[in-house]
Amino acid sequence: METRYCPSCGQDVALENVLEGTYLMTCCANCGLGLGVKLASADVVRRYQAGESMEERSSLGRVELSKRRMAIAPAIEKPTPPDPRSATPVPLGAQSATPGSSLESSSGHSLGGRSAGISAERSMESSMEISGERGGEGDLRQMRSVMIVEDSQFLRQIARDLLTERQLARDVVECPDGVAFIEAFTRATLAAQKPDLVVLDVRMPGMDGREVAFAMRAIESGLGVQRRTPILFFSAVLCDAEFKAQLQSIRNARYIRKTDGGDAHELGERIVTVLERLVGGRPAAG
Amino acid sequence: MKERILLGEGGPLTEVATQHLAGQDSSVDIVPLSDGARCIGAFTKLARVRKPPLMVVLSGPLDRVDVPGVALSIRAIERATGAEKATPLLLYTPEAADDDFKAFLKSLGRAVHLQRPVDQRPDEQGRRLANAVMKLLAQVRGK
Repeated sequence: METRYCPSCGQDVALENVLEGTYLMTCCANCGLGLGVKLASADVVRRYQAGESMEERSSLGRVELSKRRMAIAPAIEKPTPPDPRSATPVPLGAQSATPGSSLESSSGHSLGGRSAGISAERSMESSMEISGERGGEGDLRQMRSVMIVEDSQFLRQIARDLLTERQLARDVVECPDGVAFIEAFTRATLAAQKPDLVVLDVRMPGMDGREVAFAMRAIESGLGVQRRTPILFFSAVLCDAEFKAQLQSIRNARYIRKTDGGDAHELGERIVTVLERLVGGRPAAG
Repeated sequence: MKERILLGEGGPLTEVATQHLAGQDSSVDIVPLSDGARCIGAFTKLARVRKPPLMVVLSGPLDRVDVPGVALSIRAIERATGAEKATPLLLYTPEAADDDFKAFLKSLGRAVHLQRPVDQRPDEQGRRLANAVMKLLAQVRGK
């Protein structure tokens, strides 16, 4: 049986579970959403670890980058922060960076952290692409508004300050719980001011974050919205099999785990780091 | 056009309750919905065109979004869409209504709870639900 190595979960995956092409450092059907995110073969992984450029990898013929993906490539190729704790979104299916997935790159950085970060981008992009809802070029680079649903006022405030200071979003709407969010989201959608991204905590008083996400999708459907707003779950709740299945039906959704013991500022920074990667590090337009 | 009752029920009661209700009152359309998210979607669709259902019946447990979440979402959507009045809700759940649940019901406004007798057969549970719907319907219509 022919297999490919998955750098996210560190397992060899049957080729039939691997969709061809695109990016390196994403997760596979075993460990991720299985929404068309791609695996690279082991030799591509080795070349990646050796620090070869995206173009060289592309020339292998296994990595076929569309124009859109090429446009995002510089953001992915940005130097990663030396602290591996920063921006380590967990690949779906691997609740934390597993020992098998934490590879050392030639630059000395933990590839586990780096791959996981890229995994978040790829998965988000991939799920949007699969559902055929991607808008024009640069839609995520110009976030008009982001809604943050988080019961910790301190964390909301930090995330809002960071997002606006770094010009990642022009407008940040804070919601202390799911019900407030559903009301705000419905109002905004009716007024054709749907947010570009929703950052959603899972454990909240009243409605659970996953319920909120399902409700949000139902509202989009009820209002005849064509293009789903991506959701970024940011939570300490483990991404178990049930959660993964839910993410799949909630798509476009992505999960990042809050690390244990991290302070609120660090958590805010992690959200922002992931968003910076999502938007390619560009300031919001206007 | 017939008025609608949204019936959220993921289990076997839908058929029994729907048949029972249709037999008693043919002037209403029962819209069966298999999970909580579908209830929210259907309600949003009606709220958008300002034709809210006569009532929403939520028979728990519901997948995706459970009964309390659906009820809270419906109220949030009503606020967002500027609904003139709250849609009556009938919550049919196995839990007994303790003080917390009573406070929750009160916060919803125009909501009643009926305990679902899970030890009874589905047809009995369905009949009990249908009878409660008919009583509430009579109240809603001011009979």
